[in-house]
Amino acid sequence: MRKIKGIELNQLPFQIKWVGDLLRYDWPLISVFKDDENQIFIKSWVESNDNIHRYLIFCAYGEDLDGFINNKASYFQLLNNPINHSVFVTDFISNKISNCTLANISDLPYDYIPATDTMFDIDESKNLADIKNEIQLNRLDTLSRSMRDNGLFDIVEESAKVGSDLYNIHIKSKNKKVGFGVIQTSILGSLLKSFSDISAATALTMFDSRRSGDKTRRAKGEVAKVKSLGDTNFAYAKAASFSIFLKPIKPTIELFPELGSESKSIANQIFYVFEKSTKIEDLKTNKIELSDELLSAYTSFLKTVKENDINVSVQYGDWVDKQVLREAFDLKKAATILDNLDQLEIIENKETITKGTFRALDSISNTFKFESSNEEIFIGKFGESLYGSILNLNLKDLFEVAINTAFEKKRGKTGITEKHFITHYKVI
Amino acid sequence: MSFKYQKEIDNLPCDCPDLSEFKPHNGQVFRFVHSNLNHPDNFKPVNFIEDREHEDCKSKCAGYGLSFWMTKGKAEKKLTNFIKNAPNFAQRVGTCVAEGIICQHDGLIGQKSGSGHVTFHEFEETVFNNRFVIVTNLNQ
Repeated sequence: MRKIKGIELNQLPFQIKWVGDLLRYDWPLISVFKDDENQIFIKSWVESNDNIHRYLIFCAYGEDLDGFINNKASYFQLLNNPINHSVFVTDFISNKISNCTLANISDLPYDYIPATDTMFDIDESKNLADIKNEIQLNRLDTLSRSMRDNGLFDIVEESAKVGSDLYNIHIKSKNKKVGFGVIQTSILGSLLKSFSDISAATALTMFDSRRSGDKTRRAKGEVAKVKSLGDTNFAYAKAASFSIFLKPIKPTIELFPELGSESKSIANQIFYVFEKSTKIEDLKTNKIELSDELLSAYTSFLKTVKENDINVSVQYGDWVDKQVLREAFDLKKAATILDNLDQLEIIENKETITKGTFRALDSISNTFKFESSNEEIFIGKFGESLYGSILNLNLKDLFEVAINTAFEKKRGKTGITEKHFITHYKVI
Repeated sequence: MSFKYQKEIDNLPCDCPDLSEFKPHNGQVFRFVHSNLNHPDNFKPVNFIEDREHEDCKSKCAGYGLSFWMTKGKAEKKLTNFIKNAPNFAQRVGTCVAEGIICQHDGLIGQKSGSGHVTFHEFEETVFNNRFVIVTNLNQ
């Protein structure tokens, strides 16, 4: 067996139990293991000779494994992003570890690295339900580990001290931008402003969604009043690394009496958006609840996290019911959510049947320019089913056409683009 | 009729193979092989090649059988995928797909998985080496 550059160990420094297989033939090629703290490990076969079987064992992020199982990431990506950037190159003889080397991922031989496009194949997996369950447990435990490691405060305890529900924004970084009791003003300002805007926009979205009638017409001063429901007062800060506590402003009016406390309803909605935005499918399904204003504020919040490479944990503590809402963001997660938000589009379709003549036809790009009898110009593409018949068209005859128009608006951007498709035509 | 690895099978604490699932079969099958059809591992069950811990008795039992694929297309697709995931799979198992005909006197075949994979337990007298021909070599 080839010697791999790294630190020689006799044994693995942890004990792991098999959960399931991601890829198996006559023997498991890629398996999922876990330790007692629900940390996920991947064990991947790379080489064998007559006696020795070599596997890579590495600690993986639950979300990376989730991405692989959901075909959003390749096995190449999973292997190339181990926790601590290291893998245990482990040799087994008769099921016993004979050698173990802690190696950097970049020091692995070329033939230990999978192709870049290797995606998950459900047919060759085993115990997939247990693996998925493990990812959920890992998510919860990662959160509690992260709380422990990051020194997060017990938000319920803090809220009891001040006799009010509380938000806690806990900021940490490995760079010099945030330290013990110190934070760059621009980061603090940006985070507080964007979080405040998220809260205000959430209040407005919730108010609008519960209103009947024309939602674009509001009484004078109503918007400001509703937005203020989401506002907070700075309560206090603690040096650890830098932790801010915000107290929701006590509302003077009741806008959602059926939901109980205004601040709690708004907080629930904010954390719901935080959670749903991590997956594009969830985001698309829930797009009605995401106004442009909210997305703009959320984008600003995420950009602050991403551009400054900081870790931000947001907690909400309900001092009466002792409930906690919590979400953590780091550079990678912020980048993922920003990508998701970018993909979000509002699409509406409208079908128009009109008469007129073609002004231009292109059978190579399958495009057209059509002028209707009332001088409206449509430029677009033919639907796929019509590709073969474009050569039968001409610029002289009068046609009746069915034009499908897709109105697209990128979230957070002004302006609507229209895309026209001819789905049907006939000569008149 | 005894199975080829009856001695090993008898030591297992489960029904091996489970006769409610394994039945006689006549027809075409495909198997991953080395380009040298006389390679000693071509028709050797994995338990004699990869000595490893099994999660359960059923898995250990399967290790005394041979893996076949029911279609050439599936076999090629799967072999490509295994090699992409673990490049040394080619050195261990081979880069070729071989086709052969099995009959009811050769052994018992298990149920086809979603991927078209089956496990086949050979009877004592069965010898496959000269009965398969290479139909695909991914290295060519």
